[in-house]
Amino acid sequence: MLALFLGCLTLLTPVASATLALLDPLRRRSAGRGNKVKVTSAQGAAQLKPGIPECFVLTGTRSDAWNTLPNETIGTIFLVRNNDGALTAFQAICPHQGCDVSYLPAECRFFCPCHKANFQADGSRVKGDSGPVCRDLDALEVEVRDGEVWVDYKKFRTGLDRKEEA
Amino acid sequence: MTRFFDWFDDRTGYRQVLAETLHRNITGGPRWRYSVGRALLFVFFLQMVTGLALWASYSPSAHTAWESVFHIQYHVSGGWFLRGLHYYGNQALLILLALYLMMAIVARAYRAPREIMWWLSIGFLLVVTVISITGELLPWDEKNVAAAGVRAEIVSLTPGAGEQLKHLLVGGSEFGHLSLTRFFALHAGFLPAIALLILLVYANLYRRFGPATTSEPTDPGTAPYWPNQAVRDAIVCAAVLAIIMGFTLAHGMGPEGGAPLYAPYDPARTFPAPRPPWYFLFLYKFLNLCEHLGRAGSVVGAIVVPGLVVGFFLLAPWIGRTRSGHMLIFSVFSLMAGLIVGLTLLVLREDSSDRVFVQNWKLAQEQSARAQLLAANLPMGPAGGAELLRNDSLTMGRHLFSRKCSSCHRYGGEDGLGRTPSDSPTAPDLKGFADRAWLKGLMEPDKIVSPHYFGGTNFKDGDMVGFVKDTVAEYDDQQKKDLETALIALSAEAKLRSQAALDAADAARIAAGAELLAGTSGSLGCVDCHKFRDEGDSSGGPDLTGYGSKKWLMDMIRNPGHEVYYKTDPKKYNMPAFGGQGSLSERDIELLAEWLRGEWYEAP
Repeated sequence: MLALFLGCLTLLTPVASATLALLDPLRRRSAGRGNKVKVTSAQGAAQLKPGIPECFVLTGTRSDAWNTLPNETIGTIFLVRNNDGALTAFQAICPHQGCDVSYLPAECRFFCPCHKANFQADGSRVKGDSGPVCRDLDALEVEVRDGEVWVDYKKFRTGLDRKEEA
Repeated sequence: MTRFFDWFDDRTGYRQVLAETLHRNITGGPRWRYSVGRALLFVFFLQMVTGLALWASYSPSAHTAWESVFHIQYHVSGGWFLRGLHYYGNQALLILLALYLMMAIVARAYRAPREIMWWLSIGFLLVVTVISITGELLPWDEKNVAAAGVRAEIVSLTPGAGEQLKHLLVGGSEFGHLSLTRFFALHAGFLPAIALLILLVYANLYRRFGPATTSEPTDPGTAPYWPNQAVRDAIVCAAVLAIIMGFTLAHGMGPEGGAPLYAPYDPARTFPAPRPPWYFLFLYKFLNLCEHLGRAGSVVGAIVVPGLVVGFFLLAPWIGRTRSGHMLIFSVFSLMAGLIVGLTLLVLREDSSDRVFVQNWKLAQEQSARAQLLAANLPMGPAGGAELLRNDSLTMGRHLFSRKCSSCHRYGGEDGLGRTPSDSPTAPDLKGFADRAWLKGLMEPDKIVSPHYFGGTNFKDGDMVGFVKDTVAEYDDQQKKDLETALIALSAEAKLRSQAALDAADAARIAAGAELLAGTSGSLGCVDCHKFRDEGDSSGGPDLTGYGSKKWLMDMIRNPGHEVYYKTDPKKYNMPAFGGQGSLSERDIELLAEWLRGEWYEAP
């Protein structure tokens, strides 16, 4: 009995410690949280032509395990000025399986090359030509501070028909 | 001598081991088909040996992975060859496994008493598949990070704990250092350990039960392994090795070959041509087709169907008890094989006939070559390969042009990245801007109004176009010659690297041309509207001093509305000011200007 009990304890202890370490990422639910990032200045925003989305690379401080990296690329977004003057921002990640979406200015549409999905300039899926995508491009909250454009950068879960933070 | 071997045998019992392995009898005699299993073992051995050697030089972190793989390719002795063996060895392993399982099905090797061996084979296939997938991420290049991102999303589809599973794999919510460490631990640690364990158990069971054969042996136990089966095994393994080496060398002999190495991952640059490797293309297409059935299609295609298929084959020992059961198993397997081949060919055909995809694939290859060239010739600091690309005007210029300029301008009719927009340009084509040919075309009456120059702009009804159409068109021979000289001088202002030799040779003519431009000789009248050095002013058009030089271009991009350029007359032009607080940083503007001037790094 003692052999069995002691033996199990001895063998399982390192396994338990290893399991705890391996399950560590489940503890962290950080980077998906909102992150207010400056997109462009007032001058840059003024250059946006109504109805034509433009791609912006967002930089900020990113943490990756043991590194804190200042001035790193956090992600890319599209910013478009609507006809009524308001600004809309889109996440440049396809809501289907996470591939990079690009904007084709000549064809006035967003395009994802993974499964050939097309979205209109307002982020909505092109009827009949959006492949297996389940929802429109994810919009991000835009805030204008003294003319500067800021966005609440978030990532969302893919493959769902509703927008849910990752 | 015999005394030494006796001494050794007393202490290790090696003679018995040799007897059991080499002189063991094979049921029904030696057969070529038994060599497939040995070839599998050999390739696994190849992967382990090459893998261990690669491990000695590989560093799994987001800042060192690509760089260490580059180091293996370019600096480690025979590193490119080693990596090639490992890369193609992986594919050989998967193909041989598929072949082995097919042979097992034909021989009905899932029947008693070999059920557990059959399950172990399937388990081995699954383990090797995951080893393969985890290995692909390790170079941390743009193609494979993009692919891993998609796969992580597919994993998150698992009902119940999908998101948690994804977090465990990725090491958090984002890809980064911990993704590499985890994938590497799986690839080089956990999974090979499981695979070896499976092999060990399987080998023991094989020794116990022997190979399954479709017919009863007529004369059991007469043929030993050595030499006849051994020679077959050796030949087959050598052939497999030759094929793997063949592919490695065919990929390219030397650091640029062996195995592909795509450009380092950079979140600021999107990867334009995402696809899994060819042996998984069928899964990609299958999942894509399932998703057309609706929202639940993803779960069905990614989890339910594969689960059912694996479950079906795991149940083969019971299903295959009857003859019809065996036919069912064989048919399902054949159907799957056919589907796999069919779907793979379908994707290959679709992609090769998709012009956009082909262009994007070419772009990815160009970026791969460029990244390697830069890393091989320029010092690579702690920020690694991605930093080299970020400072490369050829790479960044194209991307910046495509993102910021190609909505109006063109570069050789394209958007800078090789893609052709479908609408007509509303600004001049900037390929070869300010070189002699470009300027010559500008001054031709039928060309200046074409979309290649001012045709798509408001200037098509402006003074310059009018001047070219009316005055220049009527030039006599002397004036034509003067114009040519003046344009050579104007082009020399740019000091283009591509024209350096020409400009040096034409120094005298350039001096004469400068006088023509300034109006101190001839009657061209440029300074009636333009400024050139100390003559004229910019009341009618841009300053021609230093035309097309890096400073001129940067100032122009920064603020085309400056009074020395087009002034702030929004009716005249639509180009925004990208500098100052605009949407391009100083560095971006510099990279763009360098690219437009063809001034990127070139290998010695």
